[in-house]
Amino acid sequence: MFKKITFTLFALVTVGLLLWLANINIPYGGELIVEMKLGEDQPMITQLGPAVRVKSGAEYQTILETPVYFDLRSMPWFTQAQIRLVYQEAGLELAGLGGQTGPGWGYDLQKPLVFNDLVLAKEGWQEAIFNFDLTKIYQQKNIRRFLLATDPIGGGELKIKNLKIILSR
Amino acid sequence: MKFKLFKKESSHFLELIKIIFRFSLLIFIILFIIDYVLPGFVTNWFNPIWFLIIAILSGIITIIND
Repeated sequence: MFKKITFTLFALVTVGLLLWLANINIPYGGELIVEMKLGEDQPMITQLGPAVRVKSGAEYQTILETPVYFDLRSMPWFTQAQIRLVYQEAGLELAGLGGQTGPGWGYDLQKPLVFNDLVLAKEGWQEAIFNFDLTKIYQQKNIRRFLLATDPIGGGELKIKNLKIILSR
Repeated sequence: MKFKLFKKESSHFLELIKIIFRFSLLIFIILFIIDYVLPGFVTNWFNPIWFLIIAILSGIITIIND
């Protein structure tokens, strides 16, 4: 009896675990939001690098020189990505964000579509939105590299408060 | 004399350990195959190696007590 109950419980846990994994990877609404923890590597998204060009702070990260990069690891059924970047220009102007186009150093840089949120604007922050077709971005296995560029490339600062990626099918 | 980690009274516990061994090994193999086919499906959320560690530990306890 004990064996049967325990066996059933574990079987349910196994099925539950697989269902949970399917549910988070294939979201019902078709969208998955990935948020970068600034200064920390996560399985789905890396931190901004190389480290010598970035200074970490408690509430935001400061980019001292560009280009800086980050990698995104996503499931193959996500074909669109909207990247929302909350930033503040302090000597460096946000020139754009681009996805890698081939195995070498080639990036299709997109200009930011600036969205001024009133709450953010009061604190001096701006939000830029970039839309990417992930099928056109070069990938190794399922890892895609993005580049963030400023104008000029150094001599000031660009503060990043938040980087959020909305993946959709 | 054979070394036994648990006495006979705790046979329920040993049964539980055997079930944990079977399930944790099975879950690890399933998750490993899924993540091999679709990298990140599992490892984007947690590390399945924990199931292998649990399987090894429960396997050792089972072998010692059988």
